[in-house]
Amino acid sequence: MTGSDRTRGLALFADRFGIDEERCNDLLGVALEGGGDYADLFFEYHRQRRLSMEDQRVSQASSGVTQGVGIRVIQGDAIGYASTDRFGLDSMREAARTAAAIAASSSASEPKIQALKYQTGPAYYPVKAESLERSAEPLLALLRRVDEAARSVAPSVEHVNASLFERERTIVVATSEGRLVDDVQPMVSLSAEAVSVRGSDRQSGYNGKAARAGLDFFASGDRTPEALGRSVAEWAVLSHEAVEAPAGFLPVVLAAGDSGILLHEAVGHGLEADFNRKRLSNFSDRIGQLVASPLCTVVDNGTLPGMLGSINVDDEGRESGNNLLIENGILRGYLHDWMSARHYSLPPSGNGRRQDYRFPPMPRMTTTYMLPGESDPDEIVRSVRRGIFCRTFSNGSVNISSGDYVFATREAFLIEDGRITAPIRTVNLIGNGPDSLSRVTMVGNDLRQSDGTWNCGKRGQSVPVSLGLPTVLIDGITVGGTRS
Amino acid sequence: MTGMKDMTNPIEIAAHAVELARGPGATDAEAWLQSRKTSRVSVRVGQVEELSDAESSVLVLRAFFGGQVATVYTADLSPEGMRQLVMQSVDLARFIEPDPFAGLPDGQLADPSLDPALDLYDDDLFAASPATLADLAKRAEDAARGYDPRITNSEGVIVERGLTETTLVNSRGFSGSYHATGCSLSAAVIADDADNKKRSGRWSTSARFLSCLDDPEQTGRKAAERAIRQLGACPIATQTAPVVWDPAAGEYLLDFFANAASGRLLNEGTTYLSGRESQSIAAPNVSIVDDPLLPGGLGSRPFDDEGCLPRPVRIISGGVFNGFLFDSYQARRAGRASNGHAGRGYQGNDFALGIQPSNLSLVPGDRAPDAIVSEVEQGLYFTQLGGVSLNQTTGDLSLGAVGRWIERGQLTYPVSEITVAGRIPDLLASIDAIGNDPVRLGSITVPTFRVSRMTISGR
Repeated sequence: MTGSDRTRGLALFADRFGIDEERCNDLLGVALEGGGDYADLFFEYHRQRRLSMEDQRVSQASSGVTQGVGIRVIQGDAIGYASTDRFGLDSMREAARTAAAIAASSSASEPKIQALKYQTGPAYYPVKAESLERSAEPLLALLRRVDEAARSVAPSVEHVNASLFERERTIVVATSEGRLVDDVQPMVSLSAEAVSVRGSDRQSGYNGKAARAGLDFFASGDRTPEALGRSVAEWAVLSHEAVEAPAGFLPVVLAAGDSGILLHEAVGHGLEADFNRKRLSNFSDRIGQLVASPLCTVVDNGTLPGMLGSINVDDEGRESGNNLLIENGILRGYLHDWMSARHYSLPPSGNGRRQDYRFPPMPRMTTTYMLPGESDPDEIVRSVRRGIFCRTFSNGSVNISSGDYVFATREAFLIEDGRITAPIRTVNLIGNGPDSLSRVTMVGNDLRQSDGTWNCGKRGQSVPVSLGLPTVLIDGITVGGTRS
Repeated sequence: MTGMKDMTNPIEIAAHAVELARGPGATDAEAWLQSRKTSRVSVRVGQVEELSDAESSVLVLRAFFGGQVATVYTADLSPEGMRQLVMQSVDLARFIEPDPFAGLPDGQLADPSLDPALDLYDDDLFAASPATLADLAKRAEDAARGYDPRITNSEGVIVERGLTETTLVNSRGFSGSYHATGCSLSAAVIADDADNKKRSGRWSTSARFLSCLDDPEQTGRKAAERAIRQLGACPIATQTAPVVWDPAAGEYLLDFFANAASGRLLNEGTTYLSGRESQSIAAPNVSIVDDPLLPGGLGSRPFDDEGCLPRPVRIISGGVFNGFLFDSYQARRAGRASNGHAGRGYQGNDFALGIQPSNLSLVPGDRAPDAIVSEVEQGLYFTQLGGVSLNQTTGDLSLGAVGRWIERGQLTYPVSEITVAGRIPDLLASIDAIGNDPVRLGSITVPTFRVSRMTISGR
């Protein structure tokens, strides 16, 4: 990528809104006028477009722009924050003064503002300037292909919905430590739902694929509109045969890919350093301790090319990294933002993220996954007499204090005598993070990253993430079905 | 901050957008403008942890070119921003396939000049200083931390307030605007348990008026009580048993059910309620109502987000399913009339029009909540939801649960890391007792109720 691409963010804000280094300096000065340890500015310009197909008609379309600036002042452990969607100098100065109020009572020495220095960095995703400018016509064709593929699976497929979403988020971060950084973060997402009807029995299948890429992401592999349409329709049709999910504490085989949601919920959130700094997490004060089976090595890596969870820089202007969380079962590190890194006297790990300019950043995951082990995936399934095999998931959540987590299956099957048999109805799995990870008894050699449309929620803020897992056997998780 | 006073009349702005859309040939147009101001004070362990303020506005234009329609939005309300917005709608709509059901509402529009006395706006809410809000938060946190020595930490207490001004103008003559406020206080504290586990207890109160929030001390104590009650919680054996739903858990059942009753899902064929209208789908004691005109209700609105008159809907009456919630588009597709449940999504959802319940309630019964528990020989008192698996199409429901075990009619030890599961149709049909203790939780009001049999999955 050339230098001129990399500065596209700065150029956009300069040309369109007159926001340059001088203006940033001015605002940082206002923000720290009354004191404070640190201040930063986060400018965001966000465009998105969505087309949806229902009942064989692409009749819903939307597009739009949101924009604004968030100004943060940190004084000790306290944050002052203000945002506005107006880039006029008066509006922004007023926001800076509001954010500054947090430090009003401080008697700290004169805060330092270092001269801004533009920093270039890595580029983990292609940025095509024209993506949202071009006509919507090629998008329609993609949606029609999803629909045709789904309907071709069986006459019982009565409804197909599909939706295509494109987004481009341009950011500039300027900090009182002299950091000036920009990034353009693209995203495409294609999702499909099919409903199969047999008599009074209705069943649905749903899946989605997303990446930081252009439309060419959907050109090959299991991400083509045909593959996606077929897979959701096939699952809907197969679900007519679904049996009640079992109830009880059972061995669970997690298929490679989507099952990374286990890590996201069971350990990922609990390792976000804000929770640990405040000793709210069940992982607080446990660095260096055994928190998982020695088969488990878990990382959070924001640098994988094109992954939805990848970021060149975080929303505090720090380069993302490949951060080791758990090594052979031992807890090695947390995910940090500026505040928690200062608390622990560590460098920020590039995990300070926010939903948009209206919110201050927090430590958040990027792509969280387990490194591969040595087992053959088929052998893992063969080792289970009675259990379940989970292929895809719809959602999950965790209570970071107790470590109790749940995640909900979408596509799952019974395992009987070492063989994958009947599909089961959707069900929740519930467990406790460290307990479940200590029960990992086999790890496959087939690590796979999920390119699903994952959105992670924390304290009312949602950010895109990715996750991954090799095939894994957990010798007991509570399966929340209805058949005892 | 000065709020919205420097913005000129929002009805004029919206009307101007509608007028502009006529230029390039829109046959109909609608502009929805919302300005929002929010602020938040967070206190943790006696110290102010965060003070934040946000102001934003969005203009959403729906432009119809015959049956072709595009929804476009912008935060840029300058003449150039609005001109670009209109061009964007033209660019997008011309590729879209005509939809015979597309169009502005043709049913009964709300009369925006009528003041339905909904009590949505608190004049004093933004007059309160951040210090006043911080004081409320501190009082709640002090009460929570002082409730029991086993409360060892605090996640913090957050006080939030918001003000919205919502304006809608369309090319068929609708023009209206209203102000609404909302505020909340949420407390979360921690008790240390064995095995590095911590137990968090949360409680919150929300209202349109600051003076209508519950007492902060009471909210704090309730959060603390909910943490303490989980100490020592563990899974129980897998079994089927009666489940008594505390209102804090029951609130979600109403939420799931209202989703399944969305007219959009009816048209998409993705709800298990398809084809069940006028049929008995719940026990005869069950009635579920959605009332958009409830005074002071957090879901109340004088007109919906396309200008229709919101109407109360008795979704279930005496166990019989009366019908779906509609906006005008889904109503037209289904051959029905809108009941005024159009709602705009949020930014992530492109502010698209969809179906939104307003104030949901499960109509209270005549049973004392204690009696509902004391009749249970062995069962679960379900107090806190911990994650949802819901299949709208089949009604399969599996919920992470925290609660207390009932033995011979008495609440005994705490349980966690379990699920309760069933199918929503079976569950609604098995509600065998409803309490006389409605609790208002946000826009949902629900009493204690009991489901005679569910599968509880544990160890």
